[in-house]
Amino acid sequence: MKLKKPSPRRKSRNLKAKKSPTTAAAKKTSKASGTAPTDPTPEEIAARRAVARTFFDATSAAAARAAFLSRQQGMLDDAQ
Amino acid sequence: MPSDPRHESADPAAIQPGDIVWLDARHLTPTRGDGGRTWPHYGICLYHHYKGVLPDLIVSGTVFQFVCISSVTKSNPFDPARQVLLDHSDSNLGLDGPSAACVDFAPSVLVTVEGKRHVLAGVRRLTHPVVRRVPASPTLQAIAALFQNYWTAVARKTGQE
Repeated sequence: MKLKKPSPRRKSRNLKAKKSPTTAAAKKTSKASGTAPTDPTPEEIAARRAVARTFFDATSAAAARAAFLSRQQGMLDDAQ
Repeated sequence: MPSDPRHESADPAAIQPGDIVWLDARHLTPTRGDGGRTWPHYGICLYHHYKGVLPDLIVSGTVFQFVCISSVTKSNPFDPARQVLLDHSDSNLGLDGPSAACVDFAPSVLVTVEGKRHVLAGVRRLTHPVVRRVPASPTLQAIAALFQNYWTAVARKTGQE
């Protein structure tokens, strides 16, 4: 007996049903660039850590921290 | 947004340089306007440091340095002296529109202990659908370089050097 070939329309409907919520969310997020977002690879994380090591400078870090704490203190003083 | 931001806390060991996180308003002190309180922002982790060095181990008191992300609008235009434009079409950043990393709007958060674990209170990792972050090159490099220049100049002016 010859089996009836499934219609392409039905096949595509089945594929849609199998999509996971994660895939759907990824597709939604990628609308702007047309590329799906990806999780970071170990190499990518290593590259970002290398940038941190290259640009870390105790003086600038301390200045940023001091300015931040001073602004926070100012806000607390204003609130009292 | 989290259901109860007061109890939001992240595992500091999971946050990498370049990761985009949610920062509770308690960490934020506006650098413009009337100086009042602001609302929660997204921030980019630059690095974490302890006693002037980048440590391998995270201990209580380790400082995580962030720069906040602000929208670029007509009333808040891009300022290259203090900001680095972000590519909002890059789906890994998860941004809705034109935005910039502001090196002058730079909160730092201390690692504390909650129960038996280290936490960054008022910080949330953004991991859905993927870990949100900026690429090492050119974005994180540009932000880190501008941050260093900007705050070194401030340190010189205020005699902290």
